[in-house]
Amino acid sequence: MKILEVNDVVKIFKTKGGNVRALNGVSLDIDEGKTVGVVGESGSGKTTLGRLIVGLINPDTGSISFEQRSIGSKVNIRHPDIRGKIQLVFQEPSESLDPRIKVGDSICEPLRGLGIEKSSWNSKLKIVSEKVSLAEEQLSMYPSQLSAGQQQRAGIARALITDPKLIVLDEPTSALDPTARAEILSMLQDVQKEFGVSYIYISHDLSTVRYLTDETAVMYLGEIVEFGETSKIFSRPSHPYSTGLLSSILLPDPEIVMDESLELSGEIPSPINLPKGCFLESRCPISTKECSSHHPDLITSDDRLVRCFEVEKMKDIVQPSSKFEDFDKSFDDFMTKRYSSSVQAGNN
Amino acid sequence: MTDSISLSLNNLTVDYPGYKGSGTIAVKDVSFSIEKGKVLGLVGESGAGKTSIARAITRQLVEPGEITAGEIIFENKNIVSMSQKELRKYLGSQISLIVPNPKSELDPLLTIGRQLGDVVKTHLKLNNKEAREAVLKVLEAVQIPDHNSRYSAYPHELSGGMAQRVIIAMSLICNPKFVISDDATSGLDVTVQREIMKLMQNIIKEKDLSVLFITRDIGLAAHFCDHLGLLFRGQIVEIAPINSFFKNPIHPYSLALLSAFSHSVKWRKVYSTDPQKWSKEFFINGNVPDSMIEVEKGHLVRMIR
Ligand SMILES: Nc1ncnc2c1ncn2[C@@H]1O[C@H](COP(=O)(O)OP(=O)(O)OP(=O)(O)O)[C@@H](O)[C@H]1O
Ligand SMILES: Nc1ncnc2c1ncn2[C@@H]1O[C@H](COP(=O)(O)OP(=O)(O)O)[C@@H](O)[C@H]1O
Ligand code: SF4
Ligand SMILES: [Mg+2]
Ligand SMILES: [Mg+2]
Repeated sequence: MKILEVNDVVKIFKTKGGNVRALNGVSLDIDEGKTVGVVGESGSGKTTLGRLIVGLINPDTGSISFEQRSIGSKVNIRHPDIRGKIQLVFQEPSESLDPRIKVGDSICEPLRGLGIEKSSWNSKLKIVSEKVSLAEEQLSMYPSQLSAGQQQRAGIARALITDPKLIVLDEPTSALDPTARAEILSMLQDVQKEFGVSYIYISHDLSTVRYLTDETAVMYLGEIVEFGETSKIFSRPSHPYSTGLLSSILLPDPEIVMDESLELSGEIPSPINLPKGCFLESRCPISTKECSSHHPDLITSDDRLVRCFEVEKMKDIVQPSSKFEDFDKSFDDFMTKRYSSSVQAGNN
Repeated sequence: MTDSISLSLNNLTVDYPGYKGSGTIAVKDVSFSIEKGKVLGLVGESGAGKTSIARAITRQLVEPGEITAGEIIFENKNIVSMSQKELRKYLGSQISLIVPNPKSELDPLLTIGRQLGDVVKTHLKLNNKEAREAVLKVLEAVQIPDHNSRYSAYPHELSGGMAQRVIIAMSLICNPKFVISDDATSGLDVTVQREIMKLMQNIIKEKDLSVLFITRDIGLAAHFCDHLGLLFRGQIVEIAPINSFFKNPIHPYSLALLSAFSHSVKWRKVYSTDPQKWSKEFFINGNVPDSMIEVEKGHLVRMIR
């Protein structure tokens, strides 16, 4: 069942420098219990989309509905039927925790707004803090006494305590060390298995998107340029921007070299003066004349949606690759050998 | 000491005395050498001591940090015992440091042309005209599009990637021989990071620079470095030529980091970053061993047999 439907939302920020077109018609659905990844460079509109979904800001046009109810001025995020069912976890763990309040109290804070009796707070706190592996003594500490990873666990516990159906995770691991990041991601997976919650996972860290998500939306300058099953996009990206992003992933093996054939050049243009044609035209390695004068639509191409005039050409250029699966497998083989030899040598 | 070595640390120890009651030994007995024209990657998690090493080399440790033992030999001179006057001659012109957060390093009130110009005027004693030429040349070298007009741009008019290029320009403008890059591309988008790394690679080759490349990203290090050192709580636990490391990583911390990067739940369970869970070769009587074992040529692991 669809839990969230985002329909053609547009968001423009009026600033001194001009109108910032942060989102230019974005549509997205998410099924119950699933995870959709939103990837793209900074400035592509990911955070704005997340903030719209949780109701922190309203779209200029377009609509969002949650469990088949449209969220807008009448039924907003604070409506009793919706409140607590959609939660947001921020990039900076400190953003969800008040430095002057003990961690456990911060985690419980969303319950206050739901009018839930105080007597049941403790048992809820116990469940969620166990889920995110926070120890009891950490709950009575202040945020500054926790590591960044522990703070982010607390931020996630705070989101979980209202029993949400959907959590928007806006770059939840980018402030964290690799091992803390890996732990948080597998914890998120466990939580999903147990509670059936849906995630929108916003990130520019592609290897984590591949690991965590079912479907991926690739964004560029406030638009979705490719949408499809994560495994399909990763094995054969169809949009030149997706190709550029994916080929920039650095796997921890010096022998897996980067593919330089479809490299993007330059930087993302200003969202104040959007190009007339395809937004990627200034950076695209295969652009044609048409691309500078016409703007491509998001169309269905085989198993996904793609916004590019040259989508057929891309199919010739980009052959399916099992680079990532191969890496996983060779890493596992390698570690298996490594482990058995160290056990033999008595090293483990 | 051979002529092929650019910089070496011998048993460097850095202390922040009296911090939080007891002192913090941030860097403990660290030794390594970097050959001329080569890149040594230094990988470790937050708090491992990476920045402390970088700032010890440039003698810019943040208060109350101090070098309590060891030598830093650069071109046969010990930086640790240099006078302030001698030191100034080296810093900026021979050794330079690239830091993350480019915007905080640039003065928001001055154009980038002026800021870069001031550097060469101070260190290379150039006049206004020569300085301007040097600045334009370096802006072009770091591939700032439209560099003639960017000369008079202010930092806030630049994107993060562009500002990072300016910082790289600033670190290169005096033609240093040795560059330290401390997490210089963290916070940049992958596509931008890729361009900046390519740029740095070309400049390193062209100018035969020696580099200490500090990062938390072992994937990035794998593709950019000739040697790799893993730093854990102020100590090197494994250091090796890049291929030797990736063919045969041995230390449990190395394996834990690789498992985390590979998102392997299975192997993360086996290899922990907690020393208590390491086998006794790597952690004995509550301590990591004081010495390292050479397992292959140039491949050292902190363990006992
Ligand atoms: N000014 C200071 N005063 C006291 N202790 C400090 C100071 N700067 C660093 N430390 C301590 O020294 C140790 C090493 O810190 P350092 O900044 O070198 O780590 P790092 O590896 O660069 O970490 P990161 O990846 O977070 O930049 C840490 O325990 C830190 O708390
Ligand atoms: N409150 C705001 N006022 C003005 N511009 C904004 C505001 N929030 C975001 N923007 C602009 O909208 C664009 C998209 O931003 P954002 O959603 O934060 O992207 P991302 O999260 O992908 O980095 C950017 O150009 C950003 O500068
Ligand atoms: S429409 Fe043209 S410019 Fe845009 S991505 Fe496709 S080929 Fe490139
Ligand atoms: Mg954002
Ligand atoms: Mg640091």
